[in-house]
Amino acid sequence: MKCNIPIEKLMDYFYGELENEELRDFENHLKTCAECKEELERLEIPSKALQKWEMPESRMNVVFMTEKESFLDRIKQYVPSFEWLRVKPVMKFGYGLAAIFLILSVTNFQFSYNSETGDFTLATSLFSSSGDAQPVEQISNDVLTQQILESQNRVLDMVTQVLSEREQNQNEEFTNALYEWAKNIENERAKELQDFGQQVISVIDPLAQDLNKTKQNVNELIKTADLKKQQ
Amino acid sequence: METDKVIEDRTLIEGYLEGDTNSFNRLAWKWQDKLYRFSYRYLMNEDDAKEAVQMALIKVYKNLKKLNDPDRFSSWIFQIQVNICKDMLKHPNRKRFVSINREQNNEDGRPISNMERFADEQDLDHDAHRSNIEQIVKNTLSQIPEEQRVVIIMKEYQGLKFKEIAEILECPINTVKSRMYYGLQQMHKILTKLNISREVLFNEM
Repeated sequence: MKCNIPIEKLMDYFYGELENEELRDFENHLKTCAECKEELERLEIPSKALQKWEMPESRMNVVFMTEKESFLDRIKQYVPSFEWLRVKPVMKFGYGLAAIFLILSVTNFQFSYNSETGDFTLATSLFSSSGDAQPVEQISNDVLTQQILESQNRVLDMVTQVLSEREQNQNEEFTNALYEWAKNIENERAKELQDFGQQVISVIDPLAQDLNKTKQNVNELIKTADLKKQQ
Repeated sequence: METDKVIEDRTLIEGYLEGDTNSFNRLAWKWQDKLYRFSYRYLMNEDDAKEAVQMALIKVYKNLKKLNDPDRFSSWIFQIQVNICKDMLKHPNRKRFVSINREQNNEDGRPISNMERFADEQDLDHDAHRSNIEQIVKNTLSQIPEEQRVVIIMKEYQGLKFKEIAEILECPINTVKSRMYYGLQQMHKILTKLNISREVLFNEM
């Protein structure tokens, strides 16, 4: 367009999104600008055409569920495993506990208290030795408290991570179950179609043979008729 | 979108988050048609559209708790639907979920066989041919670049404001308007080539 009205403004006007002053200004502009007027008339064609594509109303009745149905029931009806999505709090606690035990056993924590010196001993070793774990260092109470706090945080982090991984796994399992289930149904359908095809062939074959026989018979009849005529 | 509808969505969401599962049922029931209308126009196939709506509703169910601002719900749910539809178009040979729909079963509860399904589709085609112009519009629209097509569908069929479309697609409002403009231009070009004039459109009512 040569006219310097931006297309954004044109679109706003075309779809009735201009208001008050802006609208008045544009309407005034339209009175003098043949170009914009023409452009708007041109745009009416695709817009009008689009309205000719109607929704197939008969198919609109139920997209997914009726008003009286429950969403969860609707899903569960087809995917029994949907329940996996909802982890019970008891299970969450169980997973957490298991994770803590796992971490403790892997890092091999050992606390001990020496009554003579009054010191705590903290021993950690990633790979447990054959005998008792040896104290690696003697440390004061303050440092020990801090270390305990740190290790608690570490454990907490790992538990959170394990839990979130678990949640992700559940989602994946859910999707996989859906796929698996869809595949089975598809296979069944394919088989059905094959069976149908074979049935059709078994019906058509004898029919074709019959037809051939009839053809031969008719040919012979014609031949004999011809012979008789000649005689 | 009208204000009373926004308030109602908000009430339903809050109800659901407070533990009333029926609120979610009402929410899903309320939105399924709108989502279907959009998906059908976008994917141009009824089965795909229904599948897309189911996937979107499941996603909404799983993520509703993470939605911070319930007032953003309508653009959020459309966002989910658009992304699912885009994915479906990107992977035409994807593994398919089977449509969770009662129409998949006959009156006696037996799944529809392939032949019956085929007959059904023939029926559908017949429906579509009811109007020649409808077929032309569908073909024309399918030739428009996807990013322009989404905007056209949201504007012409969903009646969304440019601002709402910009929120859903997460792009500047002027981008939305120019996509709309160039999309319509493109359609006009194709329609003119097919001799679809103003007269044809306005007379065939």
